[in-house]
Amino acid sequence: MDKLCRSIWIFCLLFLVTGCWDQNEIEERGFVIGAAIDMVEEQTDDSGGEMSEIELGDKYKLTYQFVVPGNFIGGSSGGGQSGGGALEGKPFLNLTAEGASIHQITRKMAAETSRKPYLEHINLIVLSEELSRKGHLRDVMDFFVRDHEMRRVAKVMVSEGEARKVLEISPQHEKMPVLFIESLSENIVKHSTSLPPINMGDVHSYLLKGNSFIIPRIVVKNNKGAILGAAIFNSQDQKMIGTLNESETLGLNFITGKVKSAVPEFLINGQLVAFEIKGAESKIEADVSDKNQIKFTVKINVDGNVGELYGDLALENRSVLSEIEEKTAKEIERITNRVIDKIQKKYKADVFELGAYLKQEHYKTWQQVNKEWDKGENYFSKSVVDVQVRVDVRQIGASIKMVK
Amino acid sequence: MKSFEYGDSEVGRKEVLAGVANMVIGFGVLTLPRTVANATHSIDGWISISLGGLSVIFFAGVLAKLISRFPKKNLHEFTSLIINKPIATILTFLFASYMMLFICYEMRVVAEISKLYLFDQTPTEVICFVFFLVTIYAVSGPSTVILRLNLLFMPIILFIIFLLIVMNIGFFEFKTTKPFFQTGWSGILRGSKETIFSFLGFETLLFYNSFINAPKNTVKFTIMGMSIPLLLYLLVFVFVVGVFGVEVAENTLYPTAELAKRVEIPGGFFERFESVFFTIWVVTLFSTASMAFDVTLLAFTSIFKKIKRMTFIFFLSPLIYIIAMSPQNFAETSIFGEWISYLGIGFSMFMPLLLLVIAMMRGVKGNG
Repeated sequence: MDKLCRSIWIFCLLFLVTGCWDQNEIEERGFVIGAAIDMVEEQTDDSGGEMSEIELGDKYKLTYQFVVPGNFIGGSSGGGQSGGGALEGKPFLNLTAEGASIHQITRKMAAETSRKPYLEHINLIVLSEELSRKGHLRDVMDFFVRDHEMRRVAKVMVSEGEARKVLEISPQHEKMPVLFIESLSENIVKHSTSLPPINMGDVHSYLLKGNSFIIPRIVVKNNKGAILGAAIFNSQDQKMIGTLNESETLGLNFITGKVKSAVPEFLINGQLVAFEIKGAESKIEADVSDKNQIKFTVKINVDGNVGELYGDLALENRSVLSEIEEKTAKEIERITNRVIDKIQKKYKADVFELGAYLKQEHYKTWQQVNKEWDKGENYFSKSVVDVQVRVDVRQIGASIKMVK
Repeated sequence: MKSFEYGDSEVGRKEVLAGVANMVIGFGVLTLPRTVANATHSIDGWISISLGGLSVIFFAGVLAKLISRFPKKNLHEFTSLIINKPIATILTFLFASYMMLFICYEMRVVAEISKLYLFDQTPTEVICFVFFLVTIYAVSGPSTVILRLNLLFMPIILFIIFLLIVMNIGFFEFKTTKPFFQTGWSGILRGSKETIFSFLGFETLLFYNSFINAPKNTVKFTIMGMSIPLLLYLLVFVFVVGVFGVEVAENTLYPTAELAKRVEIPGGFFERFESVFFTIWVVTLFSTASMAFDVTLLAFTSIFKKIKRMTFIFFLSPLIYIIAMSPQNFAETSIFGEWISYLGIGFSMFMPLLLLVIAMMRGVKGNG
């Protein structure tokens, strides 16, 4: 009898003692896969009442994109519908709320939706241009870096205009805007006219290092998104100070050695040639004898194929190939020199990572110029950057000549 | 026929190796990259880690030399032989109190970090309580069981940490580790001071000596056991700096945990490596805490021979729990930990050295 009693008691314990304080049903979780942050327009609302200091400050408008799993499978592609509501068949739901801190807004949203926002799966954070220009990047990033749910691999982008619009685009081929933008950013290696993806961890390290940096820029037109060019942030107060267009970004990628593939076009004898770059390497050397005029030499080695050729050029001829090589090199030099010129003269912010190069290879000089590298004295804008390009044609394709 | 190997209450050299390594690897893995990077501001922290590690290994060797001089005897017994009984009793009592504080700190830290990364809603007190209950269960049995458990855990822990490294190879950038050799000596030394704290724990051997059946090999296997954490710490540090850069390493609370979160397996199939990492990490802390508790009990029972082990468990457990819960916040816990580390340096490095010197001068040896 005693044994029976004891076994019943143990059996009961099995149900009473086991459990989980942090129990979270997966159905009750709202998986957030993207976030967009805008500034709230200034309200000159003189209500006269006492306002706390926080309420007087800037306010953010945060949009989260939630996954709606039920509509994800078998639902329509979601194209053609606009607005933020969970319309029939749409696999995502955008919620927007306003507040002074990201954390508080996230809490507010929990009150508005049946599913508590769960941030572990955020893949994309879009910041509006206005917010970036006002220098709030570092403030809004704090929550995402600090929060234990977040992972450092979420991609960060700056939108042209309102960030919320980015999460509302109608994607093709993908069901959700965020996933669409993610695959866009992975395709960038194909044309190199925007930056390789920058993630939250990178931004955190830029902010800690206190250098100038760039973030990919996303542009929404006619409800379609495209990643084009980059936004420049300065080193003094991490404010966005300007943008680079596509060809400038390409030039910058050549210098930092991030070009995987690109297609420069130029004319030979008035006929168009498109050169397909298969790989490019860059190597920096510096002459630091005069710290007021540091001389950088960027050597870019490019390999590639003839991609497209108009007219009657015959490629069996070695001299034609070397002309193509020469013209390609000229074209790349033109692109890179233009971006160097623009950055050094106009923005004076070292986004080429030349400072990092100095730190790594010429540490003594770096210690002298470190404090005023691209601010104050601005040794960066005084330095000379010389680009040398060497191009090798590897293949000419399957045809020697198209027309007689 | 060979006799049944694990039937006795003795442990062999493999258990010594795993026990030492497991005791040392603990909380330090998570914070070490930050504290070292804070002192050196560059990849040169590896010099600090090697320097600190090697000096601790030297002292571990001293301790092993001391205990292998007195086979099958614990701190209380051989100190009585070396000096005299009253001093042995005082030293053992202080040592037991230190070990007890060590468990408190260990438990508190497990609870804090588990709360931060794993249990958002569960109160720290509850996490701590559950962890402690398991520890109490572990120490209720004989000590050899805990020592043998280490042998079981060791390969799993090593596997997970190596997996963590391997999965981050793709993110490792050689460029970010430059420049080399730019930190001054003062920075390197400050870094190695931080490292020493993460290498403490081998002092448990002072009591586990009574179970070791092959005293000849103790020195060799203690040093081997100590080199495992040294290698792990070096690898983890270099990877944290290579993946994140020094600036991020300096400013992240638990850089190694972030390394685990960084893991991404293509295809998005398996994204949460950190949960596996944390599980295993809690296991290492469990073995550390239970060994520390076990040694506390061994120490107390060696002084008060008439009182049973279970009685001590019943009286000490509430006390340990209350002390563990007394720091109010993160800052206080850190200060608490720092004080314990200083005590640890005294008990694991200077006390054995002193005892060994006296023993050698007086020519005292175990077994007469």
